[in-house]
Amino acid sequence: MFRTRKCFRALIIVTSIYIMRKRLIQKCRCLCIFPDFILEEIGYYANNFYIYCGKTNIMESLKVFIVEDDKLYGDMLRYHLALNPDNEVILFSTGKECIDNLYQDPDFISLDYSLPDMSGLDVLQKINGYNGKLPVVIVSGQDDVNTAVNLLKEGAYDYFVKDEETKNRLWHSLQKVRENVLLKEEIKQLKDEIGKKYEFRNVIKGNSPAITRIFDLIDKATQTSIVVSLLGETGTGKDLVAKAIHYNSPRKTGPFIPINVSAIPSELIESEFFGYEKGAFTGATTRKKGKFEAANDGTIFLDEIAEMDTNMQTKLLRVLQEKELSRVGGNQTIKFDARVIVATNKDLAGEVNKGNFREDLYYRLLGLPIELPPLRDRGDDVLILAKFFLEEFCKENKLEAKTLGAAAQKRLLIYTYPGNVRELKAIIDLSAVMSNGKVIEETDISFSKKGFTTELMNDDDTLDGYTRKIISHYLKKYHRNVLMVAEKLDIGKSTVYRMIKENEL
Amino acid sequence: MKGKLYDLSQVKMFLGNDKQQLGNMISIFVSETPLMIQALNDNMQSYNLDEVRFYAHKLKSSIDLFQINGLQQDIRSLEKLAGEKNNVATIQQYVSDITNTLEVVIEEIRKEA
Repeated sequence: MFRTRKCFRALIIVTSIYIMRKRLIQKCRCLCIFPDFILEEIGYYANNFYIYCGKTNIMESLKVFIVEDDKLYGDMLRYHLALNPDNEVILFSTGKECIDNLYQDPDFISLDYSLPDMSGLDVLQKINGYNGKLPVVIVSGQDDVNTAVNLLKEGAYDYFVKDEETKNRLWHSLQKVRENVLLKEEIKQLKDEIGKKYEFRNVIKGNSPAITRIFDLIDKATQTSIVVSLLGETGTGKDLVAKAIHYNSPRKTGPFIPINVSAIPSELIESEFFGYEKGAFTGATTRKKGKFEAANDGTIFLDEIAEMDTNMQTKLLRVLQEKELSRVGGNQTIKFDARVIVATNKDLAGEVNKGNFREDLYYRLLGLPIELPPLRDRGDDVLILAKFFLEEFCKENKLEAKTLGAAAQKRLLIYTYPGNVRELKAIIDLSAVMSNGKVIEETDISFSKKGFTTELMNDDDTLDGYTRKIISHYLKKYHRNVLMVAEKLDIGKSTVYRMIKENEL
Repeated sequence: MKGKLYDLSQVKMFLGNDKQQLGNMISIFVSETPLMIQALNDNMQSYNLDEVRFYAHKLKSSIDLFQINGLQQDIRSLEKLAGEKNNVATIQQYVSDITNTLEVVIEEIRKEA
């Protein structure tokens, strides 16, 4: 039985190497030559063989259009390019035929400049209108530099004069396009992998009601390109949420460009954001694109937005309103399409009241506000996160797997984590280092004094006394925002007003 | 004995000695070239020099491919003169010479198929 299975597997490997083409597998499937489970085995081995040969994945064939009214020349090019079985070559004798067939989504077009019905330039413009990224090589009998320059300016991939070298040049161009397609596929695969890595339920751990609400909001944020403002204390994971939104949104194939606003000196921020032209200032020796342009079709994440100076706020407001920008030292306006996510650990509304942040920009950026809960409000999420960090730390440092003892778990739950998740990670990393065995003990866990709940509970007090302390604490925490305090304590706002009055808070 | 008016070595090199494809190419040349000669002459008769230039341009790649002796320069001169639209007598002479040579070549090449 075992021998039969081995023989069967060997047969499949040989067949895979022989077939080696996904499209043939698809054809076999269409013709029902092999049952599906055998085709899957063949696909697996064929893929592995390609990887072994240095290729990342089996590629579908390249669809090549040759537009050439000279039947003889066109047939010769078709013959030559079809020598590679991965090229599916289709010959058209007029520009119109080519344009009418663009729906077939060719990967490469060889276009004769001189066609009976349209000029090569007209056909090129129509192709660009359909798909500006499609590589079009002009093959012309005219050795005219001006024509070549004009066509290249119009977006032609290359320009060849018909001679004995044309077929080889086309062949090499096609090879380059093939390499590009492979690289793009590889990038897409890597982006998909990153997307999976940032699947938000994988990144943001926890199942407390507070974090479940955040999951719902992230889910809503991924469905449109609305501006998202991430609010919350330091260490609550604003950057992770920003990445999770990007990599789970339709923009995930575009770039994710994070900027820490507070880290850029105010004199450089404009050129960092919007780029600069050559000679715009001393040291600008070349033109440089800014972060907004770099984020085109993707997401720009402006962390610590509250730290932006008011002059720059005005410029940012205009750019966000117009959806276009000018590089420093340039006159040309450049359209951009980037989703904006901002984050701050400050009370942005409070900054508006203090006159530190422009009100109009505040409303422009508010979009969908997501307030990330501090760790102390996330109940048992502390333990879920602690176990995750412990496992991760042991893996990264090649330590034997450790677990959290019951006493250690209890200790972790009494702390208030002013540094939030970031602080918890540091505490767990340290505990893994301090622990001598497989179990993290209570004594392995060290906290900073800052986060203990002792302030409230250490001294015996009356119920009224505790109430007064609690209300004072929340009023301070939420900058005397009575509505917020009432919501947090789940009491009516009139109760809060009454307590403020009665206790002279 | 006069040498051949054409040379198939470049086509053969192009096709890597694929005899079947060589036969296809010859048959395309034999069937398509007379149509282009006809169009060239018709347009010459009606003094439509833009079209004369167009067909001269189109014939150029076939003449180059089959390395037709003496016509490689003539077809280029014809294309240039027709584009400039002067010296009609010379243009007519080129059309006539090219037509005569190509008709002979077509007959000779037909035998190779």
